[in-house]
Amino acid sequence: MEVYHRPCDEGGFNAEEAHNVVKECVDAVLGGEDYNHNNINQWTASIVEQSLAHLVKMGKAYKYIVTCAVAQRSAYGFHTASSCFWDTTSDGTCTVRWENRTMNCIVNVFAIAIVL
Amino acid sequence: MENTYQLGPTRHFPVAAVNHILKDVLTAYLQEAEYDPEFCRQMTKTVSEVIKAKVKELMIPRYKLIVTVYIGQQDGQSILISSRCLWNPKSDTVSSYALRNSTLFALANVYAVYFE
Repeated sequence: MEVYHRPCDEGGFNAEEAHNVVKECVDAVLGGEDYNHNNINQWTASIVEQSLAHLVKMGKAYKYIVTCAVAQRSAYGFHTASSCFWDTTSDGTCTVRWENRTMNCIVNVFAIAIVL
Repeated sequence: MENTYQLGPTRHFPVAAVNHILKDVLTAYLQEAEYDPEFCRQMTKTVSEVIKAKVKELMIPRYKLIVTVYIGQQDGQSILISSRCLWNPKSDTVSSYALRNSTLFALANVYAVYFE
């Protein structure tokens, strides 16, 4: 029986590298900006698209799902949770929390391995 | 998991059925609820696990699942949640449901990724 060897995933998803990449994207888009209702649509779109582009440039064989939540900073409560059904040896996730004086931003990256 | 030598999934992910599941679970748990930090913290985790279990019961083969749940206090503040995915649109899909009541809002997303 043929033993099917998967290409080495280098020990699974590298969450730290993804964390740095995404943090840079968020800093670039939101750094120094104040919450502005007219712009957040554009900002979330840029954050997500740039993060995706940078993740793809890392050249790994993964499918990516990137979600971004930007909220105005006020005395409100916000909770988020996620639950995943996948292969823990090859797939992974990473979350970046960013905030400034006027807003909070949470970016989640989920990476699912493609077996070539 | 082994190579199937197929080009695509035999059974596609039933988006409509999953939409119903999301609607049922969110209304059952949160329609009458009031925002409370401790309660909502527990609820996000519980709801995401319950949704994952129900979607797993559908037994769609070779699909990996990612369930994300956002619950927040509705207080007149503004929030924007967006996501982008890099995947194969012929086999992968997303299903989403948002619920609002007088004190809170809840958003649940299920991303289904085919294991190629």
